[in-house]
Amino acid sequence: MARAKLSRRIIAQTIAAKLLDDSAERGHWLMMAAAYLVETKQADRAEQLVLDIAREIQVQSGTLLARVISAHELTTELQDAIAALLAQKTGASEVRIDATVDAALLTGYVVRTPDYEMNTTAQQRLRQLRSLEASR
Amino acid sequence: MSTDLSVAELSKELQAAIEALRTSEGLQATGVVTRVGDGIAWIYGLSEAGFNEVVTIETKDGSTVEAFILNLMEDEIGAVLLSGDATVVAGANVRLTGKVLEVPVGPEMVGRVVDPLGRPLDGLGPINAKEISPIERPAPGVMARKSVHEPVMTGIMAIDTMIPIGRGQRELIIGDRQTGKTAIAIDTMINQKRQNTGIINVYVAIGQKLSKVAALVERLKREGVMDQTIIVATSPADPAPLLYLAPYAGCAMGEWFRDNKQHALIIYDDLSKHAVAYRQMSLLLRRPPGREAYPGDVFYIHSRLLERAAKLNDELGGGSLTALPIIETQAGDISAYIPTNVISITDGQIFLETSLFYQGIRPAISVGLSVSRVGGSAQTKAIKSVAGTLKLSLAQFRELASFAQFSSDLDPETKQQIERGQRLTELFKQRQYTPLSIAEQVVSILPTVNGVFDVVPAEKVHDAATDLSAVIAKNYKKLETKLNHGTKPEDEDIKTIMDEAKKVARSFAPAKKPKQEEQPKA
Repeated sequence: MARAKLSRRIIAQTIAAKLLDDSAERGHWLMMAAAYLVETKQADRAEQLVLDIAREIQVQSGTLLARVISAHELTTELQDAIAALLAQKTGASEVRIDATVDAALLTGYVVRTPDYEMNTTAQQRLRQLRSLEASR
Repeated sequence: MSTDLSVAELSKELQAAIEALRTSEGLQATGVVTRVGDGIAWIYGLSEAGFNEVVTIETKDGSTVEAFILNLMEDEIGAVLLSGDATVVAGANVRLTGKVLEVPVGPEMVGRVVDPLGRPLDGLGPINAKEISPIERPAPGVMARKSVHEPVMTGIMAIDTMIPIGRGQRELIIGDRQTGKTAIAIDTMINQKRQNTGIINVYVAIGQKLSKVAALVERLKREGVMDQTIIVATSPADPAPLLYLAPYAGCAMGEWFRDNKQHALIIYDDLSKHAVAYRQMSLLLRRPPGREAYPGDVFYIHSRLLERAAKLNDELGGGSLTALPIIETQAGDISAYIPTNVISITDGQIFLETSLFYQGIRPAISVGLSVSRVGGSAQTKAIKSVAGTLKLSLAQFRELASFAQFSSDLDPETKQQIERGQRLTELFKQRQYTPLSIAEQVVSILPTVNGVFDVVPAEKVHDAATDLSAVIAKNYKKLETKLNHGTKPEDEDIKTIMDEAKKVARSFAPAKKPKQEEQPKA
C-alpha cells in the first residue's frame, strides 16, 4: 500500500487543530510531533514546525501568536500598539504577544510572527546602512 | 488662524506619524535559511515569495547577500545565491525585496564592460544609468513585429552573399572549438563601425576566459568599436547563476535600443556554456534531470531568450535586435541535444568545419550546411545582383571537386566549373579583422562569376580582387559610394567594373612561354 506523503504543513495543520480543540490531549500530540521529527531526523527543524503550527493556528482561529524581544521592558501602551499593528497587517482577530527582554540588543526590539518580522534594533539599522553603502 | 495650533503638538504629531511610517515599513516578510551549499540556499518561510523574486540574506558578518528564487516548494524555497556562499549560514534571516532581478540599461552602458548585474568591471567608475529594466521580459508579440528586410552586413563575403543576415534575425554560429566562431562575431562588430551602420553591439561572454575577454576589449578599442559596444562578461570562476543570467542581462540592455527606435546586435558566446551552467543549478536545486542530465526546460531557457530578438513594426519605432548565438559542438556533432535545440529556434545557422579550417579555408564556413531562412529579403540589391548563382556554383564545384585531380581528362565545361569553383573558394578566404564593404564584395565577385578572372591563377585571385577594389576606390568614387549604399549596379557600372577587371586580370595572368626557336640543322 502506498504511503501517503507527510509534509510539515500537513502535520502542522493536524497539531494546530488538536491544540485548538480543548478536549484533545495536548501533551500526546506534541509527543507525536516530536516522535515524527526524531524518526525522520528533522529534530533540528523543530523551530520551523513551531512556526508552522503558529501559522495554522492563525489560519484556523484568527489568533496570531507573536514574540517580541526587546532591549528593555516594553510598556503596556507599546505592546498594545504592536498588537494593533500586527492585527492590521495580518488580519488577525486576536494577537497574543510573548514578550522577553534581551539586554544584548542595546536598543529597539524585534517582533516575530510566523511570516513577518519587524526589527528596529541598532544592529539591524547598522546592517541596512552597510548594505546601502555597498550598493553605491 | 486657529488658536489650537501649537508647535509642540505639531512636532509631536509629526514625529508620531514618522514613527508610524517607520514601523509599518519595518514589518517585512522574513524566512530563515535552513541549509546552504553549492551556491543554493534553502529557505523556510516566505510564503508570499514569487518566482524569480530577489531576496536578501543577512550574513554572519553583518552584510547582506542577494539571491533569487527558483524553486517554490511546499515546505521550503530554493534560492540561488548571486555571490559567494561562504558568509551565508543556516539560521540566517531572509527578506523579500518585492522585486525581480533588474539591470541598468540605456546609452550610458555603451563603451562599458559590466557583469550580469550591471556592475562595472572596467575600472572606469560607476555607471549613472537613468533607467533600469528587468532581466527577464516577455518577447514582442506577433503584431508588434515586422518582417526582416534590412541587412546586417557582417563584412564577411561568404556570409553576406550566401547566408545573409537581416536586422531582427537570429542566426546561429555553430562549430567545434577553435574553428573561428568568435572571429566571425568580432568581424561583424568591427564592420558595424567601418560601415557606419549605427548598430550598437552587445557581446555577452558566458564563462569565457578573462584573458580572451581582455584581448577582445583591446582589439575592439584598437578598431574604435568599443564606443558602440557593451560587453557583459562572466568567467568560468563566476558562480553558475551569473553565467545563467548573463545572456538575459545582455538582452535587456540590447532591448533598450530596440525599443527606442535604434538597432542592436547581440552575440551570445556561447550558449553551450549557458546550458551547462543552468544544468548545474538545476541539479543542485534537485530538479529531475532529463536527457544528458539537462533539466526538462533547457529548450525554454534558450527559446525565450532568442525570441526577444526581433524587428519591431513602424508604430513601435522600427527598431531591431539581431542575435548571433554561438554553440560549440563536439567532434562536429550538430545532432546533439543542445545544438539541435538551438538550431530549431534560430532563423538559420552558419556551420564552421574543422576540416575546412585546417585546409586553410578561413572562415571555415560550410556553405552546404549553412543556411539563412531569411535569405534574399535581408540582402542589399547590390549584393543580390551578384550573389544569385554563387551557392549553386559552389555546390556544383563541391560535387566535382573529387575529379579535380583528373583535370586533364575532363571535358572543357567540367574543367571550367572546377576552375571557377577553385577561384570562388579562394575569393571567399578572408583574413581576420578585415571585413569588406559592399562595394569591395560586389567588385570582387562580379568578375569572378563572369569568368574575367579565369585567367588569374587561383591562388592569386584574392590579390587580383584587392587590386581591383583599390582601382575602383581610387578612380570611381561615385560608383563606390553607390554600391556601398546598396544600390543595384546598372549596366554601365557593370561594364566599368568588368573593363577594369580585365586590365587587372591581364596583369595577373601568367606570361605565355615563347615557342622554342627551331635550331638550324647541322
